Amino acid sequence: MLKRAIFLAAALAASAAPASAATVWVGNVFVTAAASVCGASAAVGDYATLIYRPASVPLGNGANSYLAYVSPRSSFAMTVPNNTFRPLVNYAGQFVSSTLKFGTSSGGITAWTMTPATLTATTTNAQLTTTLANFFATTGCTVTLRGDLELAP
Amino acid sequence: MFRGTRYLSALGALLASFSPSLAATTPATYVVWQGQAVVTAAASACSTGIPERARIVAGTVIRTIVRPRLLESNGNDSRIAFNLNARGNFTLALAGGLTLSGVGTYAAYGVSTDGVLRTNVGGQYRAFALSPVSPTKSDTFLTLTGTIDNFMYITGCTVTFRAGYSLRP
Repeated sequence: MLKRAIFLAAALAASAAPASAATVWVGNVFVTAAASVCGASAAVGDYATLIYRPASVPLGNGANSYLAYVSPRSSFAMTVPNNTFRPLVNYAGQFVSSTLKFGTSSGGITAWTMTPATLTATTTNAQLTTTLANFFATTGCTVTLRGDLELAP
Repeated sequence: MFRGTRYLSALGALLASFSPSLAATTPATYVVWQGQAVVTAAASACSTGIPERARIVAGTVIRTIVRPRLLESNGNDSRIAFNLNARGNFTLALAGGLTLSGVGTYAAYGVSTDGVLRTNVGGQYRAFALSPVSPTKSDTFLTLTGTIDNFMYITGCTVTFRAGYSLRP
């Protein structure tokens, strides 16, 4: 267990690398529901850029899936190592707040609906609605995000 | 929590060991300045073979936030963040502070423009000059120049910038 965790942590902390090989989808997402405990971290109507990078060796993305919520002055990046984003699995997350606090957390993916369900190199557009627990490293902060993603050239 | 909880908990604990601060549950007041940086020089590695969305060249403008150490709840390390078009977040803990004539090391956190979670990525920076050198909350404006290696997690991408900041209300 620990050796595996160390290996994956090392992979997450991988040193700088070119950003050219991956296939990602990017778009605007709105927060359509948020628990009150989220406070300023997430409120209905908030929006951000969402970057979705599904695990796929043929797409150049490797074995880990990533989902990044990036606002103009903060970010919350999530990963599902050796898995895909889907309901009833957990993610590992890292936040950087607008006051430059940073840290890690984990949470559950309680809902994930993507159309089409599987993305390929020719999928130019996808619609996503997802519900995530412990959003932005805030315990009990369950949010629903909705957005339309475009394949990034 | 669902399947893989034990494994993710171990991973989370391990990742948390890289950072002294966790979720924002403790009331605190942080003093930060926010502004824009203009890139005055960028190595070819910052743009060659890089998708258009992630290229950095001389003239690129990047939103930036700076958090000098020892102000209110800012803690003992100085930090600086660069947000590239709301696509990449390059947040640095600067071991050598914000005024440094030589070379210092940083630890970077955030997300690269290809969506990958980045944590505790080491690198170097140099020739940082913050004005005023030791700002206080009464300083409305700051300026900063400096050079950072492996900018935005891109190997070989050395960037020189100058930035102007205003105290966040």
